[in-house]
Amino acid sequence: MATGEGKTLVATMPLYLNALAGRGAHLVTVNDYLARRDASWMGKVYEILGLKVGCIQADMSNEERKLAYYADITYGTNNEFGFDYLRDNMKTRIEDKVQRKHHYAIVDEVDSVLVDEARTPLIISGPVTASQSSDLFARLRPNVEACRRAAGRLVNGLLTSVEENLEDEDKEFEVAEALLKVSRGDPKTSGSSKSGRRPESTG
Amino acid sequence: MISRVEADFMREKRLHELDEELFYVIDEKAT
Repeated sequence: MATGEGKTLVATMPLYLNALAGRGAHLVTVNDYLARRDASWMGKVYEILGLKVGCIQADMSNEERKLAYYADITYGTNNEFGFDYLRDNMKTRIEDKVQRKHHYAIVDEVDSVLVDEARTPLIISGPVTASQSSDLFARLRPNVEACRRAAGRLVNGLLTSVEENLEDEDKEFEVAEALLKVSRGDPKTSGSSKSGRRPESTG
Repeated sequence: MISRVEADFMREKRLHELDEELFYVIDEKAT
């Protein structure tokens, strides 16, 4: 359909149908203005049909977002849907999450959302207090090093057995099995074993 | 040959046998 022929209006039909399941349906669009406008204009259609409409805007609180996501149909931008998803994945309590399970979505202005906007990745990050990160690092480092040494010893033992049995045709299977263990236990060494190098941390 | 052996282990659902040796137990109190 060309511009102005009614794509946004037509989208109400599959959205209504899929919202009837009660699991939520999303309409993804490119900016807050369009999300607000379409939710307002098309909202009248849904309300006549007995469904509730929510609209996600950038300046909303968590509670407001949750209400919008729990409506039958939710309008919003790809950015807001994406960041809410990422933020939800960082939450430790299920009741703090704003989104529910994803069921059905229609992407309006799909070329903009999946081509133009998709060139900018959604990245979420937050500050970590220095004491937290360094304490954890100091606490875990010895264990990680111990694991690394144990892996090095095991891989070296396996490589020794490979070298001893390499010429023995009867032990072809044992050699392959040992090399397979090396590749699973220490993929880096597995690559370097071809060049005769061994893991450095022999403990 | 390695790929063949791996495929054999996968087919026989014995891949876990290969990995058993690769798990390391760390005694946190001792370290």
